[in-house]
Amino acid sequence: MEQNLTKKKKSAFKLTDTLILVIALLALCIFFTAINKSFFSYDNISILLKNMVITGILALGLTPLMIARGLDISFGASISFTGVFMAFLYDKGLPLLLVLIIGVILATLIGLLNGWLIETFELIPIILTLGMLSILSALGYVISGAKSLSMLTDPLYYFATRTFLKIPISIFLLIIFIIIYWFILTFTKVGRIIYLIGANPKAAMLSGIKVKNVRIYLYTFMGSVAGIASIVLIAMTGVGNPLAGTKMALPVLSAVVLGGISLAGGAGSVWGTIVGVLIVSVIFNGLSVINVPSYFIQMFQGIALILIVSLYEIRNKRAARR
Amino acid sequence: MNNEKNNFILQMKHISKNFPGVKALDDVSFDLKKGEILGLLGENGAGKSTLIKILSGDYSLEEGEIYINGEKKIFNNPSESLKAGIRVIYQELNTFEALTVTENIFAGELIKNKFGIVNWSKMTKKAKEIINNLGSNINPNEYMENLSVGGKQLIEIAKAIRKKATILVMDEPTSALSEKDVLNLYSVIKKLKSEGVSIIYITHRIEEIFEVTDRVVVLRDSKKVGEVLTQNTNKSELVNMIVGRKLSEQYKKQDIKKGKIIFEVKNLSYLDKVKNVSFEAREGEIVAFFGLLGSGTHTLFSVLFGDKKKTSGEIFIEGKKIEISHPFKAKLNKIGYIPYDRKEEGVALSLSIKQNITATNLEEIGKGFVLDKKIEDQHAKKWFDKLKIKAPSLNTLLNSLSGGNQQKVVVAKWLERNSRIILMSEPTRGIDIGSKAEIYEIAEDLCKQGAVVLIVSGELPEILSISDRVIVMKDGKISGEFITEKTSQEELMHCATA
Repeated sequence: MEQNLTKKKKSAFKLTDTLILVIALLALCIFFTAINKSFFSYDNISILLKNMVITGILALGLTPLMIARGLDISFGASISFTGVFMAFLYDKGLPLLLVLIIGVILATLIGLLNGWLIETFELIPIILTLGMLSILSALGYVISGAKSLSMLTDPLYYFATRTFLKIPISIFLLIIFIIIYWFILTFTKVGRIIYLIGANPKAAMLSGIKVKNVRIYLYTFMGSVAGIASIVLIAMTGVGNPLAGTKMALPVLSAVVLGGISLAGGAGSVWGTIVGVLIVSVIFNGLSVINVPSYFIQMFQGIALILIVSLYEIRNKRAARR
Repeated sequence: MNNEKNNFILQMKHISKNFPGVKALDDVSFDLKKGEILGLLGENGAGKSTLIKILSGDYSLEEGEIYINGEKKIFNNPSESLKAGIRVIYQELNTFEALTVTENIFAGELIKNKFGIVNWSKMTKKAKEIINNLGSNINPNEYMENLSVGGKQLIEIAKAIRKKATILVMDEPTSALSEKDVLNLYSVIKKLKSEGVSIIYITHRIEEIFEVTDRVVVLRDSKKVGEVLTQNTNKSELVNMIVGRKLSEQYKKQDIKKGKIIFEVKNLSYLDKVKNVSFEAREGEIVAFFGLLGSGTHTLFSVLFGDKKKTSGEIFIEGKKIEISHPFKAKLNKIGYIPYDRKEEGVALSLSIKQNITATNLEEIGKGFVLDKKIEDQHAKKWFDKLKIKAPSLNTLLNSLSGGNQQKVVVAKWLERNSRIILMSEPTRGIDIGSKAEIYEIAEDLCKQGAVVLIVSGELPEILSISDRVIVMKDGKISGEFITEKTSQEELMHCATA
């Protein structure tokens, strides 16, 4: 009896944590709709969701990596670089499918390089991936001559514009990602290993888990996710743009952190991340709908990120003191 | 009231504290006189730490009252407790390793001249004065990281004195000290007492109670169960108060049949920390490794488990040469490891009991890559019951368990893996008497089933009561090997120091 009680208490507590975020999300939606009814129109919601796809899959890719105490901020630059590279190859006449495969492989190798360097030389992830970000941005400029390269194809256009049951097709890609990541983190041994590493890397290593290898896989996989995000971006914009990824780090990291993943690792879940992505997307979209200038939106995003991190930190301190 | 005011520097009255689902303290009262050394005894989880954290302002006071010099106080945070002259020296020392001794002693309150510039010469002189007064000659300009654990502890005490602490709380101060440092500590404590400082001395080691304290308060199951003058009590009375049941004073080792040699190490070296170590161990044998801090015993175990890569030498299991390049390899070869630092290396505090237990053996928790939670429950439950881990359920998080129960979880990780060569680094460090005896029993059980248990321990009574053989190390080399039955504390100590 007592066992059941403590168990229930714990799960209830967890629920309220995500619940607060869901309530915040609903409050935001009501707020924006109150100011401008068109926020809740089919057109706007479908734009909102479509814009959420890229942020969403990147945030999902970061989720296991950050739970295992890794971090990658180079994904934006990787998206720009592989995007430009794919457009460049397509322009040279390579078949579309081959171009896309090369793009994903390239991004995957970038992820592998990130992971290998960080784990082999025990580097601080944010510094290494900052360096990688800088290198990839420069390479993107070199290949493109600092211009957007167009890459209009029927299949990608179809993917970006068609709907199924009035739902944009690209949303299904995000849903597939959600299911895969949720399944891996909740039900598989790999998922458990990720949480074990996040909770205490040294103890995980001394339990015979190959911590470094697992993390290298996670960085590599994050690379692949960036490659896929790059394809989605080309589909939506029709160009490989050397600047496309530069502004992605902020909303993605905000979403992940908002969803409850701490930079200290060990905590977080797919659902938290998804709610985080929703909130970030709603704020961005909602502020646009009520005609807030874009530079202010960027400022709000920055403020929101700092606020979130501070609130979590205050809460953790409180919990520790109690 | 007035009468008490003169006698007691500290009174804690009717203190109770509740955590979700647990009563951590139940109506505990005690008091402390000026210049008195009060021993606080109890098993892990008995409530000692909670009591101290209330005194230090880390936990808020829910029920009860605290009086300092007869004056009622409420500590909302640690700095208010510090202001009242209370200073806690924790088991894990909070020193700034990269700073000098002087900087540590004056941390946060450097002496400055009227222009706001730090007056180093005055500060160094004062630091030296305080250190010398404690009977030590540590150089105030030495960097903290170069001091021994005992030295670091002395500097923490010096810092407390500098801050004019009138009540000093020491939480298991000897748990990481060599015997020489322990003797130093005792003399420092006596010196402080003569200067009127009151000390609350928390320990698991009953012998220490008789060395330093004037009076003892014993806690059990969140309640105060006894309070006696040290001179009026004896060891067995205290043990009975602590565990609440009769426990033979010393653990009696059973005679277990020894089999063939299954573990063999030849000329193993690691940098200059472990030099040319060779030994062998038989089925059913418990071999203890003894040495002072820096003797290489802990490093040896890290190397044997693949946490550190050996620089040369060979390891054989059942005659077969094996390469242990990573703990993963050690695990495959049925080697298990209970690390010295439980919280940093042994357990994932934010995860549950079952998640910790199965961490070593995920391969067998379900087919393929999917985790089978039913099988996981079965596996974890087996050890949960067998090792009598005290917790509400398998899903209880490790950070709410006592040290003894956490250690059982670490042991369970390797039982779950069916390990045959178990390396235990100070397996009973900081755990209560009851759990200690249980850990010894587990070690014996393993031996009965043909396993080998290797133990690094700094406690000679422990080594003498549980091992078959003792290997003594000094400066990374084996300096002697003894049959436990035919040796003594004095002989082992001599071998480790001479």
